[in-house]
Amino acid sequence: MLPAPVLVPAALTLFGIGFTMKVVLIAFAALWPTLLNTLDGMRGVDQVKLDTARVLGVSPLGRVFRVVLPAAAPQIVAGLRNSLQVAIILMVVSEWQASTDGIGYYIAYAQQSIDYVGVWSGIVVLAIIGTIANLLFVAAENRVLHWHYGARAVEGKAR
Amino acid sequence: MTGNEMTPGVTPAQSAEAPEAAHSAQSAEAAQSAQSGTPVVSLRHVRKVYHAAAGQQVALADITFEVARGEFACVVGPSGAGKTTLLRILAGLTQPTSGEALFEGAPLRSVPPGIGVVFQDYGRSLFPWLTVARNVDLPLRVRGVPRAERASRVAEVLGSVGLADAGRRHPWQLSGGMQQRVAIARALAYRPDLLLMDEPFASVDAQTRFELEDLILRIRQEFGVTVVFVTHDIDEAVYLADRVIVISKSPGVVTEIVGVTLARPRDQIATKADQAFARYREHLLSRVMTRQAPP
Repeated sequence: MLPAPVLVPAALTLFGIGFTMKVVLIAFAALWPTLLNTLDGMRGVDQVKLDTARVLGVSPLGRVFRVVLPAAAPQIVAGLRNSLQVAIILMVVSEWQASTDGIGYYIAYAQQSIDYVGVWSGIVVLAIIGTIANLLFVAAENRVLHWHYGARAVEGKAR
Repeated sequence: MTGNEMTPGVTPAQSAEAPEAAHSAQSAEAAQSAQSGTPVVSLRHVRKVYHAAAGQQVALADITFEVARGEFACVVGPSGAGKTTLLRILAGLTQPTSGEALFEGAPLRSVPPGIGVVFQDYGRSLFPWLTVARNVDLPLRVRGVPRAERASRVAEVLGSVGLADAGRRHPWQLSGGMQQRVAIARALAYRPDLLLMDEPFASVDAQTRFELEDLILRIRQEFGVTVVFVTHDIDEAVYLADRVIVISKSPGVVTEIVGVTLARPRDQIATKADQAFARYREHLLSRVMTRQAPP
């Protein structure tokens, strides 16, 4: 897979330096892990579940929202987790390379000014942001996928 | 059929109900459906061919039978006889290649709202992301039943299958037998005219299986539903059925239809100890086994 940061120069030439470039770049790079995982998850839905929904009278659109998406949810969430990582990496790298503000810019600037306290405090702030984002993500994940982890734990015991 | 085919050896009164040849069964059946109006299910010369890379595969060659309102019909046959294909046609999930499949007199082109289906594998047919109550509620919700009525109907059917207290749990928190009860409750929630069951008790232990057999007999009484029950287990078929439809190994054809006149209510111990039960069992087993041997 292409390392996402190499997209920064390409985005720079297309959009120039600024907020638009960062948003477009992050949105573009973060889209793929989620999209591909979602498609994969939707393809893998058990035919018995789809037949069951048909027999129960669920409409074709209803089957997408009531069966296909919930069944694919574990993979969608796995994709979102990858997207979150890619987004944070790209946020820092794009600020670092071509920006006039942001934490990435701050770290790069501090490094050039031989301000090691500044460098390390930037890194610590990033670590805190990353940890908080991850905690929020895990909390949301547990809420949405508690059935999946519950069912998996039961299966594990049965084996 | 072999020449020395075994006579079921039933009493004279029963032999009329357990005919030797399919054609006499069908005339008895015609009389029966005349009494109760339009048959719930009617298959006429149904044939189903699958096209695979290796060529054509005939799953069902020629299937003709009817099921009258309120009847409990069991379909038995060796594995590979196209029983599941037959059930999918009855549910409207698959169309026959040729022939006619009617539900309450109308051709089955898609899944009609008046059919409930219980699949063999409850683990795959229940939705693990929904609680038990919401699984049962789903068919009512998509039919636009008002909320208050939905709640009372969910409670009613869960009560009928003995799971009144399990509504807020998830299917995977229940035992296999309980999960299949949830699937039965869900299929009954919208009060279907016809309940189709595809080897529903094949993946539970023997004890639970007996309990569920009695449950389905009681529920059939309670809801007045017509049942078509596919199984490979002859004992189960004789114990449950009013009529047993025997299908041969592929290509599937109806080889015999046997009326079972064992007294109701049936009892796991007394009915199975009955001489007549043993004779039905022996007769059906010989039919299924004979057909398995190469011609």
